[in-house]
Order: sequence, then C-alpha cells, then structure tokens
Amino acid sequence: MVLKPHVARPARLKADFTIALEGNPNTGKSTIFNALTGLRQHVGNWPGKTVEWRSGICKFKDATIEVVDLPGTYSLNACSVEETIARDFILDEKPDVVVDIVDASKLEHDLLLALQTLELTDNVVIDLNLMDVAEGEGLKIDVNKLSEMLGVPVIPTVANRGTGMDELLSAVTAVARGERKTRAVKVDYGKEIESYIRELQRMTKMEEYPSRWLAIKLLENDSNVVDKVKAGNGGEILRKAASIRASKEPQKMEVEVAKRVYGFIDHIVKETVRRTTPVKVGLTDKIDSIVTHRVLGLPIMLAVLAMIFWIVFTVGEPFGAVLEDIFNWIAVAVKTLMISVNAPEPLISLVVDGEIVGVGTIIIFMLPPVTLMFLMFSILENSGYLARLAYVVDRIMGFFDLQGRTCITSLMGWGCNIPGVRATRIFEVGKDKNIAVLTNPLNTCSGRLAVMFALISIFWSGGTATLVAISLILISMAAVGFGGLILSRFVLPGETQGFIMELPDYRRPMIRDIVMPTLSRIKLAMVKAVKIGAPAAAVLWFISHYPSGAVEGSYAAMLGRFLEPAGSLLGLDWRMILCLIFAIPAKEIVLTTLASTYGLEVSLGAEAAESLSFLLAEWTPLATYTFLVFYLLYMGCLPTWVMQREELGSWKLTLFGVVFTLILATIATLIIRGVGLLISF
Amino acid sequence: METNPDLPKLNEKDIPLSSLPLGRKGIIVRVLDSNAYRRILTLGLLPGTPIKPISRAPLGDPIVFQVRGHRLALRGEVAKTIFVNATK
Repeated sequence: MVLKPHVARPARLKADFTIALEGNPNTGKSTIFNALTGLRQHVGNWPGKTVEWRSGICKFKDATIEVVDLPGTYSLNACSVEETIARDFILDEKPDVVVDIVDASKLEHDLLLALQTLELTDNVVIDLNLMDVAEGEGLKIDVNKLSEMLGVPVIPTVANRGTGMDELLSAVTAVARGERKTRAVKVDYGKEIESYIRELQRMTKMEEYPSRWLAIKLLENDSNVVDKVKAGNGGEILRKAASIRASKEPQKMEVEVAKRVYGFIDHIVKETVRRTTPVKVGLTDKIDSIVTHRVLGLPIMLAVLAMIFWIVFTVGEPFGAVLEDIFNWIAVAVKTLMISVNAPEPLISLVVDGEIVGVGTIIIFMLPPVTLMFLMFSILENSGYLARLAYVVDRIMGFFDLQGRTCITSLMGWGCNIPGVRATRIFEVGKDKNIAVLTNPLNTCSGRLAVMFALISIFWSGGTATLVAISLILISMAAVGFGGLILSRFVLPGETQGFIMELPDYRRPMIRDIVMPTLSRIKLAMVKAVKIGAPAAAVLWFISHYPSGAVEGSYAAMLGRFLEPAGSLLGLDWRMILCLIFAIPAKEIVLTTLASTYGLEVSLGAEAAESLSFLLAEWTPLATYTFLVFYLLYMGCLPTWVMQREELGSWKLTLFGVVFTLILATIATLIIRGVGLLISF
Repeated sequence: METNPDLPKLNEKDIPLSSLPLGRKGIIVRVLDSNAYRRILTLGLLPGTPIKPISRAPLGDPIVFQVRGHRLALRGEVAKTIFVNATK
C-alpha cells in the first residue's frame, strides 16, 4: 500500500540538512526562527493553502541548515489546516530533525505536542524555551532527567535574549549527522490497546510511515489518516481497525488513549518539575482582571476597536494621498510618452484609463488599510489580547449563532475583506469557519466606505449625513449578524462547535516578529489583488469602449440595459448596474466608473470623489441611498472570492456565498426602498 | 446524549462544570458526547483532571478555567457537557 503525500513544499533551499520548527502558539517559535535565519528567509504560502510557509538558511560552524517554520499548533491531531500541514510535513518530507519548542513554564500543557511528535519520529530535539519565565514563576526543571525520560536532547533557551541558541544548534547538528543517537519514548497505552496496536502494526506493509503511529491513529479513527490509508488501498487494515473499534464502547478508545498520554505527561512533570515558591498572581492575571473585567471589559474592548479604526483610517489616509499622487504622475507620464511615440489612441486609452486607473485604484485604496490591518492583527495576536477580544465579545456574537472569533475576522474585514477572510485561520476547519468566511464580504471594507462617504457628502450634509452614514454602517453590521444566523440555522449543515479558546500569557511583542510576517502577508495579498485586477481592468475597458467607442453604445451598456428591468425593482438604472458590475474586481472603482458611465473624464482617488458632484442632478437621495445599501452588501470583490476559495477549499461554496450575499442585498434593498417610497409619498 | 456505561457513574455531588462557582476546584468525572468532544479530550480535560473556573466574561459567558497550568475559555454550552465532582 502506498500513501500519497498530502503536502508539497513550495521551496527547497540548498543546505546540508533540513530542520523543522514546531510548537504551541506563543512559545517564541517565530523569535527562534528569526534568530536562527536572520534575513535569509523565504516566505510564501503552502501550495493551495493560505497557511504561511516560512523557511530560511542558518549557518552554524561548517553546516548550512535549512530551517522550516511549521505553523504553530497545540497538537498534531489534524483538526485544523495548520495541524494537518505540520503533521504531513513531518511525515512526508521527513526533515532531518524536528525541533519542538516547549514553554518551560507550561510543561504539563505543551508536552502533548512533544509526545505526539515523538510518536512520528525519533529525530527530535526539545527546545525548552522561556526558561526565564519559568524561573520567575519559581519552577525548577531537571533538564537532564527530562531528556532521559523523553529519549531525546532537551536544550534550555531564552530565545528573546539569544541564550542557548548555540547549544540548540549543536544538538540539532549532532542529531542530524547521527553523532547523537536518539530513542524517542513511546507512551504505554496499556495491555489491551497495546495488543491491538501490535495486531494492526503487523498488517501495515509500508515503510514510509511509522507503523505504531499509524496503528494508534486508526484505533482513534483519525479521519485524515483513514482517508490516507483508504487512498492507499488499505481496505483490509481499515476493516480490522473498524472491527476492533466496534467491539468497544463508543468513545472508550479515545478516552483511554488520551488518558494514557496525559497520565504520562503528569508523570513526567512530577518527576522533573519542582516548585520552589508558592504560586503567585502573575502579570497575565493582573492584566486579565482589568481587560476582561465584568464592567470594564466591554468598554475597554470598544476603546481598542475604536483605536484600531482610528489608526487604520487616519494614518492610512496620507499614504493613500501619496499613492494617488504617484499614480497620477505615472498616468500623465505614460500618456505623454505614448503620445510622443505616436501610439494608437485605443492603446493609450487601454493603458492609461484602463490599467493605470484600474490597478491604481486598487493599490491606492487597498494598500494602506491592508497594511495597517495586518499590522494591528499581528500586534494583537503577538501580545495575547486577540484571544481576550474574542472571549469578551463571544456572548454578544452568540445571539447570532456566531462566536467571538467572528468578531475579529469581521473587524479585519472592515479594513479590507482580504485580511478579514485570511484571519479566519484562527478557526478550526468546520461550520463556524465557513460562516465567518461567507459573511466577511458583508462587512463594509474601507474601499466601500470611501465610496459611501463620497456619495453621502454629495447628497447630504451635517447631522443628516452622519445619520445616513451610521444607518448604513448598522445595516452592514446587521447583515453580518442575520446572514450568519441564516447560514447557521437554515443553510449550512452540521453543528457549530461552540467556543473553546486557549488564553495565552501576555507577552511584549517583539518588533521583528511583527514586521516580518506582516510584510510577507501584505505582499501576498497585494500581488493577488493586482494579478486579478489587471486583467479585469482590461476586460472592463474593452466592454465599455467597444463596439462604438462611447459608453452608451458599448457592450457594457447593452449588458446594463439588459439587466435594467430587474434592477428597476431595486431602483437601479442601467448606469448603476454597470457600476456594480465594474465594481466586482475592486469595489472602490465605483468612484471612477460613476464618471465614466456618464461619459465623463475619469480620474483617480480623492479627485474622482470630488468630480462626482454632477450626480446631484442625476440621482434622487432615495435612489442614492438604495444604491448604497445594495452596493455595500451585494458581493465581495474578486480577490476576496479567491481568498474565500482558498479558505473554504471549494469554488462551489464560494460561489454559493456570492449568490447568498446577492440575495441578502436584494431583500434588504427591496425593504428599504419600499419604506423609502412610503415615507416620501 | 449518548453516555458510556463503562465510565464512572455520576452521583448527586457531580455537577456540570458550568455550575461550578468561581474559584472552586472540581475534578472532572465525565465528558458527555458532543461535537466538541474530541477537542475537549485533546485539551486534556479527562476524568480525573482538576479544573477551576477563574472568571466569567462581562456577559457571564464564556467562562475561563484554570486547567493543566493553562487558561482555557469555554462557552457555558460546552462546559455543560463536562461533569465535575466539586471538592472542598
């Protein structure tokens, strides 16, 4: 039987040997990765997954070592994408050494991952990090004893001070070169289960997977392993495992396996950890007593959210203005150049009005909020507050069948849906995550907010304008809530998992650990957006300039007029419909297409917003309002679809989500238009 | 809910984890089957494990528990599926 590797690596760096870093989130794994590799990093995505791939080169004495940073996980159970990737990498790519980073102050918690790793491979080095924190808490750890019990080297480190890195690398090199023999300890599962394990082990005939591990996973009915074995024609062994399971009470096997593992962990901790001072109230408890306080918790959370928005919008604006100047300059320069070489008129129009304005709008409106949102997310995540935010708000989200994590992904979505959808990685795979992915486009991203504010400022002023803005924002929030509720109750199958979240210790985030992943995330998101935006801009340019040259006689206008009967129900004329179609690649493009659908000169950014005042003569306030409601809700932009597809793993579900928001937008617009017409008569 | 006859029997003193008062330690006696069941086991919430609620979110739910030297937040609906023996 042959098992197909499930995970392919995106890059292989030239090196003497490869090591993989794994560990729980917040154990200082990225600090160690950055300390080992410095700037010699290769960043990307795991193929077909939105999980980050990071690898780098580390030079130690005469060795060149490739370091692969596996996603941070609490276990290797393949419950989440991260866990599956980490496990499959160790199984399929067989790194020469796996370095498991353990928080020394949380040994009884972190040893689970260590023991699961030791079941997969003998070539493990345990990095006992955060030794300073453990000592500060009065914990004394017998490192030699721990190493003896686990059968692999255990190296104490304080990564943020660089302590112990040489010792770690020495141990890693020795294991990789076979100079230091390791014999990973195996958990004793008790007489009965051990006999089943042996029975199944005898039936496995493949060399590439550790047979003991495979047998245990089959007994636990690990769906990922079952699928792998199924694909490898392992029907016989599967039937055997199923018959063993069927002979037992339901759950018994899982409970027994988990009990044995944790029993062993408790035994190790008892033998190796000594508490020298009584338990104190730590810094984390002190901070938590304020930020999750019964009365203060929610106001503090609101203040944090308000601050994030303030930063994203006020700090982002001047950068947007600079980008706008740059693209305006490029547009003029390119146009002048092309005229001087006698380029044909349609080509100039395609390049300048189509590509530079189209791609420029995407970058001007996306880059600042995307950058700041990723940065904020990274700071929140690294400091430990992100988990508290989800915890504090969870009950409120519960009214809509959503959970606390959805608040975080929605929050990101208000900056830009792309980081919003990407942030759904904080969920485990399943219904809760799918709901968060599918409802994310209902959050008004900063591009749509710009269009919204531009149109509001034309038709309303002062207090009325504020009220209109607030009402639209509330409609968007309600759409997320009710959209989630409908998806959860009536559409998506299965049950939600409820809220289970670990609250890590607070840590002072290190600048390097925030900036480096943020930069790579921005790069990936922007490249994706431009890759989709550029061809889309060309297509839109073509259908709005041909066959006749003027907008009125273009293919786009024909499409708009064709859809007008349906649109008229919602109070949308063909030009509005056209704008909505043109906005699919990038929502903020409406600022420019509003002008172009009226055959006017197009311009970029703030200039475009100002040039829209002609609409005062064309649209009524009610038409503007209903247009905005529909526009805010009808669907996410194309780059968001691609991101959703990656997170959901299915185009079908992604497109279903598009149809779902379209229906939701139609219903909301119909109701509001109906009410509006009643009031105005 | 499916229960396992092989697991320790519940007695009157056993209460759902969600009703354990803050600061009071309990020993887990049983985890009922639910779709969060596997995840609960993976986290080491097994029969015999001590657990203590330490605080509640502003609206009373979820609850943070101290378990295995770690802080774990659980919604009441999840905590309801875990039964504990409240020790003194």
